[in-house]
Amino acid sequence: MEQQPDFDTFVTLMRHSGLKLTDEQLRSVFGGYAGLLGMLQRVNTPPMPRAIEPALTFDPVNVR
Amino acid sequence: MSGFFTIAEASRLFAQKKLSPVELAQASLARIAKLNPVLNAFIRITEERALDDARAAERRIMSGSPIGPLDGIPIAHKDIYGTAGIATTGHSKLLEDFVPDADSTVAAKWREAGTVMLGKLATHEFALGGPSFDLPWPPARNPWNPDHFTAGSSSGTGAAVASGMILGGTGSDTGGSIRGPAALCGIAGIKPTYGLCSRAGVLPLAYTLDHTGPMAWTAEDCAMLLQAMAGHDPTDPASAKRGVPDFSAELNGGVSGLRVGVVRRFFEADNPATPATRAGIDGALDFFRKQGATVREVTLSPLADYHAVCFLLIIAEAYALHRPWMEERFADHGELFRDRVALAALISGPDYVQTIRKRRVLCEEMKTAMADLDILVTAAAPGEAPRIDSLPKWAIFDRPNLTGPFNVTGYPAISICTGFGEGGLPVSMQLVAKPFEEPTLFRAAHAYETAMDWRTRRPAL
Repeated sequence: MEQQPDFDTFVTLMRHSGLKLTDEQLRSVFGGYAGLLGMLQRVNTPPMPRAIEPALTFDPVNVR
Repeated sequence: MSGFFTIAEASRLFAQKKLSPVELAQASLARIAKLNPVLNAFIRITEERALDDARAAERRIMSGSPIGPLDGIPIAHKDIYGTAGIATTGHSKLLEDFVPDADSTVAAKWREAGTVMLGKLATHEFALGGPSFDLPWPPARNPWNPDHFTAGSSSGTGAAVASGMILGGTGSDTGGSIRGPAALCGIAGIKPTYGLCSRAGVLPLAYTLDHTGPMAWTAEDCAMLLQAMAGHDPTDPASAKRGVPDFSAELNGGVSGLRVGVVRRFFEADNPATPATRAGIDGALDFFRKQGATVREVTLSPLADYHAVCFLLIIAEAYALHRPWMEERFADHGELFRDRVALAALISGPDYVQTIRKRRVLCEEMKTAMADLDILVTAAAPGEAPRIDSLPKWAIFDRPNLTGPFNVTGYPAISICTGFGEGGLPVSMQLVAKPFEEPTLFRAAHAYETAMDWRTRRPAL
């Protein structure tokens, strides 16, 4: 189910983030909010196996 | 002096004393003076340094003691590569006056290899976003048609190499920033295996996805440049502790016996490519088959899965780095950079962990898919370069990026030219190999490039 972007929620979240944006800047960033939510939904799709732990993510020395 | 040289050609002519490094440097500087006002590839030209470098190279060559095949070769660095005593800005107002006191590892290695450094090249701000028109310098433009985009973020390197201002240059690639400009500017650009080349002294964008790599007219030239930049560097925590192979050793080995896979869904369904791009890839696959390679289709997860992981990690890691500036000097960034990175303020801890877990799933998938393959083929860009004024700010969400899968997984990937589209601009393909198998990548790319005549065509400037 696709999440609908809500400007008021967006503004509340941004205000809590520590970024001090003007209304105009907030509106400018908001243009990407729907895209961000879509990507977050895509990476949060369960299930993912137990073996896929962040600790195993990447070992550049033994990448093979 | 007129005409273009590849690095391999110039190196041979230097050795035969038929070409002078000083004359070549002067010709390059003259070309920059003529073309840069249109192409904006350079944001800083280091004429004095270039001529000093060239004179030193000429003395070595004339005395019969050249350093190696790159001695006297004109190059330039993307302006995120630290250069001692020379401003390194990231194409950003925030670092407009930043002058490092030391070279980045790669800049030092190329200097030690005898290259002639002509200056610093345009990039997208801190290697993200673009094209931007609200930064201290204008964006680079495509030499095949200056009304069109170069792609980025190694935009200046793409434009400078394609227009013959330099014979090779550095790029960096976090989601496709070497292969994208290589594709749209019709040159070769390789993102090496994660860990092969040092990022020390290079302005970071996203630690776990950042790669340094070379861009040049041909795959052969890229192999020569990579030789002088690869290797373990204890000052880069991600640097792989392993030996460096001879990247040119297998260049003429041909493709007979290679096992080639093609990921069609990426460029046919997920980010549909133009007919010219598809024809170029099909032509390359036919060539590989006729030369004795086997070709089969490979299925991977949707490109959008890779794209989501890549984008979320880029902005999360970039925000972690830039947060103090984002909080205090938001408006000093360009709009494209700041608006993308600001979104990361809304990525929660669990979201970030799930992104890393998803990355691991995709890495395992790629490892399995590549287990019985030597080369993977897919598109590097969906088509010819679009107009530079036609790109919506949030286009990044419209079509998943074709290059990101190999940043997410760390696999080496090269973009090479496969012809020209209806608009007369280059089209391309992407070849991918197993980790640290760059020699195989160069072998396949060189076999294709030397069998076709695309490398004989240059932009009419």
